[in-house]
Amino acid sequence: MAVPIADKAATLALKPGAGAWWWWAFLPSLALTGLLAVAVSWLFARGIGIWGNNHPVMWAFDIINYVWWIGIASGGTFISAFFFLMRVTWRTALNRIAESMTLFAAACAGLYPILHLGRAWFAYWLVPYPDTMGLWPQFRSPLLWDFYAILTYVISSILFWYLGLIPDLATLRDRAATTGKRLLYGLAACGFRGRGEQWRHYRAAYGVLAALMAPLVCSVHSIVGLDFAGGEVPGWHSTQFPPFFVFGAVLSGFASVLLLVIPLRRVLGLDEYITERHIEVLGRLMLTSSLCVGYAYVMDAFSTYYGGDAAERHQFLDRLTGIYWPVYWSTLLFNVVIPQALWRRRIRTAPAILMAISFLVVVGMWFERFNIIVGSLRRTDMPSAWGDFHPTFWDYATLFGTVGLFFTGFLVFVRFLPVISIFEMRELQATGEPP
Amino acid sequence: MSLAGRFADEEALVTAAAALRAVGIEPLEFIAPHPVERLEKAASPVPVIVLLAGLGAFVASLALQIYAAARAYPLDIGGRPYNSWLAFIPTAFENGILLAVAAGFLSFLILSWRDSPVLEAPAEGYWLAVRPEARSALEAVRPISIAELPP
Repeated sequence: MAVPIADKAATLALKPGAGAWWWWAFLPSLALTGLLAVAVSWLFARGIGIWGNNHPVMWAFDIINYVWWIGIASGGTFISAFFFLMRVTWRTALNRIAESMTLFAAACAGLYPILHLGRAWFAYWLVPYPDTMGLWPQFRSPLLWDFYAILTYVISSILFWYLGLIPDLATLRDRAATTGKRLLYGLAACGFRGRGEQWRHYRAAYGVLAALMAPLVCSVHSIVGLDFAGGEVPGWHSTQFPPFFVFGAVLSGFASVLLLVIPLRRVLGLDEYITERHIEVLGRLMLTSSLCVGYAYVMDAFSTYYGGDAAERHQFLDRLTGIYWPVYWSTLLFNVVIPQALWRRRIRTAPAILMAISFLVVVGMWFERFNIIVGSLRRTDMPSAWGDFHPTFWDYATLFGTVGLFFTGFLVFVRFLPVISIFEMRELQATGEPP
Repeated sequence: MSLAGRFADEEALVTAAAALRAVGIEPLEFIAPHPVERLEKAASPVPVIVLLAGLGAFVASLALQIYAAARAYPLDIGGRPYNSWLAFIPTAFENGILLAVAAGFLSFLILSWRDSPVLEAPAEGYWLAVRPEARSALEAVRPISIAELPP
């Protein structure tokens, strides 16, 4: 390998100016984040009436975006925790980018449950605390389980990501040219020196945290599925929802990792570390999870007709042929049909095509949640309660605002922190294995 | 003060540590850019701390939910049992994981801040630190260079 990874990754993080591409990506993201700030301020001032949600479609973009972001977040945890436990070597070059994606996607997801409350300042009612009226949260409700799942997922993702960064922050501290940078990276490195004692506890802590993150990510998406399965709405009340949501989450997660990794390796010159092999493996993972999602779609249709409930059947037919039929069929096309191209190795190793497929999958997963949420709520059991949903400007502003928030956070990470785990790559190189 | 000898790679570091031990000198500490499992003296207590924190939080969370639902504010919902403990498991599980992860992170930080014979380590490379008296033994295992570490 021509340039040692430590030099490459540390130089990228420590160099004084950002490239032009970075500003071209950062400024629009920052502008969208500004739009989010406006949308959220207006929401807090006027209430959720500014959104299109209304009876009977009481959940719409807020929950669609929430499920979409939390699904995207899962990809990073799968790559960094599952494949760490399986001692897969290709994970090492990707895990920092993937985990950072998780961090910012989980942060975007975490906003929505608070925003959709209506009276966000009462969010603390979700926590059991000794209040004067002796009231408690309803611990039997999946919606409350969801609060604890998200809380745990966001905090654990931050800690796991930060723990993985500590040795690299120490490297940056040792290499920083200015006192200011040395001080900042030094504070963040928490006194890590690479001493044997520190590595001994580090290795143990990282392994155990990975072993906790792996079941955590499955539980989080299962609980998101239970939010729906626990409600008696046609199209929701199904026992397959927890695994169905885990499948969908990993599909969008792997697609998003590809969407970020392919351009990043180009603009940062990381082709040597993030090779064709990594891209190809991610393509295979996307294909596998796409097949799982395809199975879930088939079971969704099967259980509807096997169950024989008239409302379920009517609601399902409405998805297929009602006004939202393009959304349903695009979901199938983007998430199941088009990813079948990945059976061919030539496609899996063509970055531009892979990016296009990943983009369609990410859009398709948003459509899927639109079907599940809006498609079900607009055709419930009682025909007298049928109705439609019309998104407003503020719905779109919040959706694209969180996209901006995600990219703002991610680009700040790319600019100031090592995008590839330095110490893990060194360990891999010490054992002589290919990255 | 202590002395540290620099070695080319992990293999040389492990060989040198073994050679020093063979002549009765226990290295104070090694310094490396990545974990070196073969030089670890004992298993870290972090996993046990994490297990206890996780189980403790799980049990405490389950107990709080049962107390809230069955004792403090019993609510009859269609005649279902007050202590519907199965429904409390997801929250208890999430609380258990949260506390376990936090305990793992904090115990790593606290354990790695503990007093060490080698506080100031060289920035890069593979090093083996010994007491200053052991200079001749350190030289005998042929390090690339030798540095004096401040106390």
